[in-house]
Amino acid sequence: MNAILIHANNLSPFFVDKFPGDKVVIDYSQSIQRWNFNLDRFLHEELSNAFKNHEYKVIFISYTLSQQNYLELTGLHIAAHIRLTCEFNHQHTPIVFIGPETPWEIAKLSEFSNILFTHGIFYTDKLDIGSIQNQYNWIIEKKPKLTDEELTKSIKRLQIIPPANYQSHHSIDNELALLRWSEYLQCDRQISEVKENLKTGLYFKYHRVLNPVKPSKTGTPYLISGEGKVLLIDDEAEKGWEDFYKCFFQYNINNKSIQFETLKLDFKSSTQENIIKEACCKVTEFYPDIVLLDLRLCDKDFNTNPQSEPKDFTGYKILEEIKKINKGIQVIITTASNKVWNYQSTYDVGANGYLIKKGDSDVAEDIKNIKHIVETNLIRAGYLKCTCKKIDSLRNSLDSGIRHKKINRNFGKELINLLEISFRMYDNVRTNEDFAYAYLALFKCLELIADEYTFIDCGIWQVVGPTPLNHYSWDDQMKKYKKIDPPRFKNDIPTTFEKIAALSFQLLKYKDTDVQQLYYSIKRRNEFIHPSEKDLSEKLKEECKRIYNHEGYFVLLKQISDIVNKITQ
Amino acid sequence: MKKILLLEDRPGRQMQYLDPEKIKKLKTTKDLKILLGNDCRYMIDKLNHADDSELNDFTLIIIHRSALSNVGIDTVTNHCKVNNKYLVFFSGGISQSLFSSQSFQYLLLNSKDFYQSNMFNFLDKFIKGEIEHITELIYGNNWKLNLMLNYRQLLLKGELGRTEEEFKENIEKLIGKLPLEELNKKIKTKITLI
Repeated sequence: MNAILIHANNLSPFFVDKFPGDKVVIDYSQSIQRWNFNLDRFLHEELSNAFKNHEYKVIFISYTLSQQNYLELTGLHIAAHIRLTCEFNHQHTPIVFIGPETPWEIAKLSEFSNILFTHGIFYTDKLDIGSIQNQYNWIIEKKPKLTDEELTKSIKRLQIIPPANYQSHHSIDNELALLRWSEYLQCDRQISEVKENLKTGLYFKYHRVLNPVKPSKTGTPYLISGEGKVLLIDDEAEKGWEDFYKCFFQYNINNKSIQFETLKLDFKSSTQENIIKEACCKVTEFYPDIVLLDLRLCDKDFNTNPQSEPKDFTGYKILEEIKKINKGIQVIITTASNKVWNYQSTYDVGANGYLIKKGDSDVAEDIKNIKHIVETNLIRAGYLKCTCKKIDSLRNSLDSGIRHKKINRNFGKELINLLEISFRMYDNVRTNEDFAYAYLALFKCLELIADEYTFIDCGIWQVVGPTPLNHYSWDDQMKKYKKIDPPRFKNDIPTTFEKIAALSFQLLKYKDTDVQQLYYSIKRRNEFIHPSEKDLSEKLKEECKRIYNHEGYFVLLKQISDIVNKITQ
Repeated sequence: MKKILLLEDRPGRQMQYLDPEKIKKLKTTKDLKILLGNDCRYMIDKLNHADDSELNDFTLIIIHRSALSNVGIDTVTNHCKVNNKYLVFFSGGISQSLFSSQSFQYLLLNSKDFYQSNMFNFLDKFIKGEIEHITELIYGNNWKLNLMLNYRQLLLKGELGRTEEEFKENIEKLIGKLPLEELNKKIKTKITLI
């Protein structure tokens, strides 16, 4: 009889001895108390050995493999492993369960019992060799093998539930992505635990059969262009994500263009409040350019009853806090979730991108995508962080100026509003033109300042003091500004520059070079709105082009900030 | 009175499976020492340094296995083996709850099974000395059915070794000495009534 009997020394020795086929004892009772005992791993290894170089026609399994705890019914696990594991070479082989119970009784006793009602499964309660032989012969004649279709249907019916610590299917995708991305970069040696789980775990075998993934080639890490600091906040960092990113950034870490750190924390033992606090401390201390932030970081984030909303996720709250520290820090949400609503809500509070950890995607494209996201956001952080800091400082100066009555309250509030509006546009830049639009929005601040500190009285333009507003013009020969007396404003109305120049010299005591820079800032705006018909000098052309990149905005912001600081002193 | 120690270093998991009222009730149960989150940290650290002195007062020890290092796991296991105590390890990574009484009574539980079982009832009964078999924690009222199934397995096996004979005698102390036919009827009835 080309058959195998799988038992745990829990069947009659007389029956076992007389069984006319191979026998294997799978007994985990001695191993169960070992610190690293894992039932699936144990069963996988035992079955692997049992089926090596064999091709049995029928497999006999006792319902249970425990001598002391019958209701474990681990014979059902064994059968599920056989159906789900291609490498055992017995997926299509008929299986006969041995025991005094009927399948319907077993169904009441175990949540693994679905397998009993699938193709190619039989049972017997007769422990005599004659009956076993008859059954074997009958099966060989009537049902020697499952077809592929029958196997597929059987597997679908198994409906194996994930272990409790894989609290959503996203956790599976998370691990699969880690494995595949690590394999691609050939740094998967460090994730042996994950690999072992995915190879031997019953649920993962089930998941992989139902969600087959094409094997991917290998590649090498990119050298990321740009420089800066990257912080990883992920509760699975120690599981392998930290190693993966260290491998991903290895060339940049080696040439010191990127500093990479991970938030070291025992996430599982921490409350949400503590995780948020630690994350904020780390961000404040390390001051990264990019944060790779997982959305779900503690058990609470996986609540299903009631379902957690995105705004309740720990990662969401950390995102909000990071943006309070500095809006310019780029936060990339890393998630295994494919629910679009998860991302959309994070964009509403300032997330700058996302990385989906999928178990079945094109890995080479995923790696390229990570590179692109990192490079883009390193550039953004490069100019946004300092801009944010400057705006925060400017806002504080204005608030202080209002409190101490150094500036008019309405003027101060309007200026703050305009700063917010312009920064929002600056933060959302996607094209060169967007930089120009943000610049125009910021320019309103300069116009507001000019209008606040100059006025007309009895037909004479004044600077707050009040003193008559002087008319300054650039003398190209002398290479300095000269006063034109009496003023000769076109249509008797000073331009924005003429007002600013007067303010600068008369109120703020600026030098010619400072005023010249202000001229360029104003010219930038004017040239965008009303392009000159005449050719501009090379110097002016270069200055005007700055409206199309982050430099122009930052220069203008600094000028506005300097003016405000002087006014509020 | 039997004393129980429960160590759970993941406060989020308790919140996930138990409501605050139940947690409050747990914490006020006499002869049950329950340490959660950071409170259990010092004890776990001791165990991970092979110091089992904190376990002396307890008859039943229930610990989240993943909170311990392999040294910690061995320390707890050896303590229970030497002192013949009950040990329950629970963990999210355990796919199937298992039981062994090789040298002491040992349960390896899936954390969802642990928290969703009749845990409260079990802990209360254990303290009062009313638990007859520790598998009542996983199987609730079906613990006796489990013993009957074990007993039937032994009867059908026929030839038993010394350990198996002892195991059979221990079962008989709890369910009585039943002939096979009567045992079959009782098992059938119990399963039918599930």
